[in-house]
Amino acid sequence: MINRRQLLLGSAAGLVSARLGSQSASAQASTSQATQAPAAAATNDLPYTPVVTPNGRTLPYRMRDGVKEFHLIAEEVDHEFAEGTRIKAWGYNGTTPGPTLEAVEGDRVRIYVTNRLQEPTTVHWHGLILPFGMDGVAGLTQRAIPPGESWVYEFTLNQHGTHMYHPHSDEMLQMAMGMMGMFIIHPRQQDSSHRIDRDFALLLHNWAIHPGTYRPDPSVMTDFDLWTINSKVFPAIAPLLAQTGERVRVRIGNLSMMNHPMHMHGVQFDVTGSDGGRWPQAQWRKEVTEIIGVGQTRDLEFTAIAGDWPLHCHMSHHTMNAMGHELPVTTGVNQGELERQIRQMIPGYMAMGEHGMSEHQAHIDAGHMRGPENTLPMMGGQGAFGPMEMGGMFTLIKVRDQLDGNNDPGWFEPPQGTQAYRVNSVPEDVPV
Amino acid sequence: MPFKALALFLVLPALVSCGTTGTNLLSQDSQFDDMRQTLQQWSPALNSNNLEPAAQPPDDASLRLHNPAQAQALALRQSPAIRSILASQGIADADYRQATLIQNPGFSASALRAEGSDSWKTEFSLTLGILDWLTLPMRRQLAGAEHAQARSRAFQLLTDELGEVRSVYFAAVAARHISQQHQQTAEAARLNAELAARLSEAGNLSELERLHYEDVSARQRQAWQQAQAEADASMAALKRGLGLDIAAPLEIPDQLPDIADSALSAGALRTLLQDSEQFAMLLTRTTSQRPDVRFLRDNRSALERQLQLQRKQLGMSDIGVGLITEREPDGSRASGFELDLSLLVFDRGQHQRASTRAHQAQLSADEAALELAITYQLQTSLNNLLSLTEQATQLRDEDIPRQQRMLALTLQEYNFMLTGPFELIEAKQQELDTVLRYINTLESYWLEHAWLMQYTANTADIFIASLDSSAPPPGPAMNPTPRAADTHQEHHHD
Ligand SMILES: [Cu+2]
Repeated sequence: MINRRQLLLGSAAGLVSARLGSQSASAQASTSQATQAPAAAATNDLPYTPVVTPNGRTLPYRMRDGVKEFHLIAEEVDHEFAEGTRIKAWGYNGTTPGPTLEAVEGDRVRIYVTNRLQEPTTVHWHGLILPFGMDGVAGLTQRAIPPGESWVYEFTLNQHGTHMYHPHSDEMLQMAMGMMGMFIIHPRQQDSSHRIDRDFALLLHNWAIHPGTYRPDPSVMTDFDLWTINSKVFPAIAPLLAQTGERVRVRIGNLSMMNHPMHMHGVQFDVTGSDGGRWPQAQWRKEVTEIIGVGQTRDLEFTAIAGDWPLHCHMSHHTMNAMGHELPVTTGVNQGELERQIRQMIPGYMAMGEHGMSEHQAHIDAGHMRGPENTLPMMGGQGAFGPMEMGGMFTLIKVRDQLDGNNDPGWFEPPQGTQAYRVNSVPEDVPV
Repeated sequence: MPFKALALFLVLPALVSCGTTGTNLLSQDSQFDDMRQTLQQWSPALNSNNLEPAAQPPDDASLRLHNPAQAQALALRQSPAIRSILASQGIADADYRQATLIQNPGFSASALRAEGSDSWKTEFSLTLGILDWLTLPMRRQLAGAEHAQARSRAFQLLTDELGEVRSVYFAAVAARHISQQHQQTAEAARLNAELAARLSEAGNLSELERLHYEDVSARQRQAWQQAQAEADASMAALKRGLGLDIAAPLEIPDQLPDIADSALSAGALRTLLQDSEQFAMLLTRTTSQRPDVRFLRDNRSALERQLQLQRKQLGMSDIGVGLITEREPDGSRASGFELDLSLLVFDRGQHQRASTRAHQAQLSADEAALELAITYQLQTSLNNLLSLTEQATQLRDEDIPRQQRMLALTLQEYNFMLTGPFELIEAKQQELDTVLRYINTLESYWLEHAWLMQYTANTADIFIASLDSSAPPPGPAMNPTPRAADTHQEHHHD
């Protein structure tokens, strides 16, 4: 039951956010169409910079009696990781991850949850401080929401920080199927000394989509095929766009089954917050790689420097797509005549890997090595200077002095004299 | 010896499976000149382009057999066992003629002189077994029946011999086919071992793993060697059956014919097994053609005639009629008849007749038992053929294509580095194993088919084909039968 004091507080907060809310909602509408960057002009009036969810969107809400009302619909979704891989996943409101919920510390939220799955579900508000009965744990805090029913979660946001939501009912399967989302709560008091110009929300996940299949395998514990940011793999992950000198925040949550050391090129970022909220500045620390533990979130902030800077997990298998893990090592193996003999028996056979795996992408890109259906090659992606040989949890932070709205600026051209170059010989007096 | 030819070769068409028409294989064989007309009339198989004379220049070049009918035709010409059967028929012919002659009349002369007399009394008599005369037609019938029995026996032996030729022919082709398949399996294993060796050389594979692949390869090589030895042995058995010299070059197909080349379609077999009337027709046909049934029936009718003969002989056994001329010492002549018979006091033939009747009863029971056995054997064989047809069809139309699809998918996984080269080659081995199972099934099928053809005295395929108008014409068409060779051959004969 909501007591009188909560009600008063709630409505007071509601009054404030009601005004903000309508503008905020219109801002969401515009960003939901262009996923690249916030429409900065439209957000000038907000006390915070709205978050951008690359390849996703922020869920609009409506104000009713001072309460922000959201509606999440749990359902099966048709999902594409990148061109060439589609699956039957589960998510919210037509996508995985579900839309990002965004609110302000002190807001009262009423979240309708409709279950369009064929099994019960709940929504657990991961990391939120709320009444026990709103925690969304099947059997413990509530009866699970049966298929076809709509339930309501309602509570006041007494904190700020980067949070997540996911089912706590048949949790292993429902999360393996892609049911999760971000829940961003902005501090009521903005940090005026570090105003954020760009705020991004990334949710890490892993998927067992066995080659040639169309549905995640929830029983896999370690050998996942796809490692995703917002349920996409490189090169289908939308780049994070910023302008030179802007303060950028990248919020990263991890609902996968493994920790991910997320590494950023080009900058030392400040780790400024977590699901514990925005940290006092004294607690900030400079890093280039931050481990995002399972079930954790981290906020990474930096001042943008021009370039196309990778942001990726540093576990190198996590920046690959589907690959075998028990293959014989072919490095250094010259198959020679044997290759011809095997091809005679199995037309189409090609020896590979004698000099490393780099040639693999060249073969794939040349189109003469067909893979299983609905399966992405292990590596791919073309940059301005050739194959990037990446996949999975890898994306780019594209920073330009001047962006053209939300349009992808293309490849960064290194200024004269600032790019590695070939030499004909190395001076002999350089020690080796 | 025109009789011999007629006696035996009237039944030949049933022994040899049909083939296409063409030049007479035996046309250059003077030994069979007198049979040619009969053969051409009755046995298309023996008229076929069988021995491919074009590919068989006079002396050294090897014989090439494309189907079992050609093997059977060659065996008819070459096999000592078959020549022996033909010779035995010659003996039977001679015996038959012997039996149809009337006994030579007896002639006796005597001269007596009375004591003290100068004159001689001479006596001449000519005796002729009258019974021999009276019963001649009957004895001719009896001898005819015995001769027919001998012919049936020869027919049975020929059926067996030619059936055996068909079986060893299929066994030889199957052994070659299987041997080739083992060669491929061994090659796949060798490739795996070779790959393992290279990986090991590069330091990427432990000795233990490398030896594992080497061991598999060694086993497969051994299986291939064994298959080769079996192919050689089967070839020797075929040559022996054909009566060829062990060193004689002989070419047979590399592969067994497809099941679709059989006249016995699954539909027709099913009809036959489900429709009792149709089955009865096949049974009738089989029993009327099978030498052993004919043999029993001939025996029975021979006994019947024997019994009639015994009845006619009743009361006048061993009657002798004589013409006697006597010349008395005084010179006068007296002529007269002499009748000579034994009295039927003790042996009146009743036990002999009882024995014959008992024999008859036994033969009739034997015939019933044989027919029952044939019914069961036919049922079993048709069931086996149906099952083997279904298995072979499934292997050919579903299992092998499935393995091929699996190999293609494994290659796709290999391409995307989802699976390794060993697994890829193992997928190929799986496919080869399935093909081997198919060949084994085909072998069982054609051996069962050969058995059924032998068992039904070569009538099953024509009969069963008549049940299913959609079935191909009877007689397995061996692949490959190059059309060019046919044309060439005809050209040669011009
Ligand atoms: Cu990782």
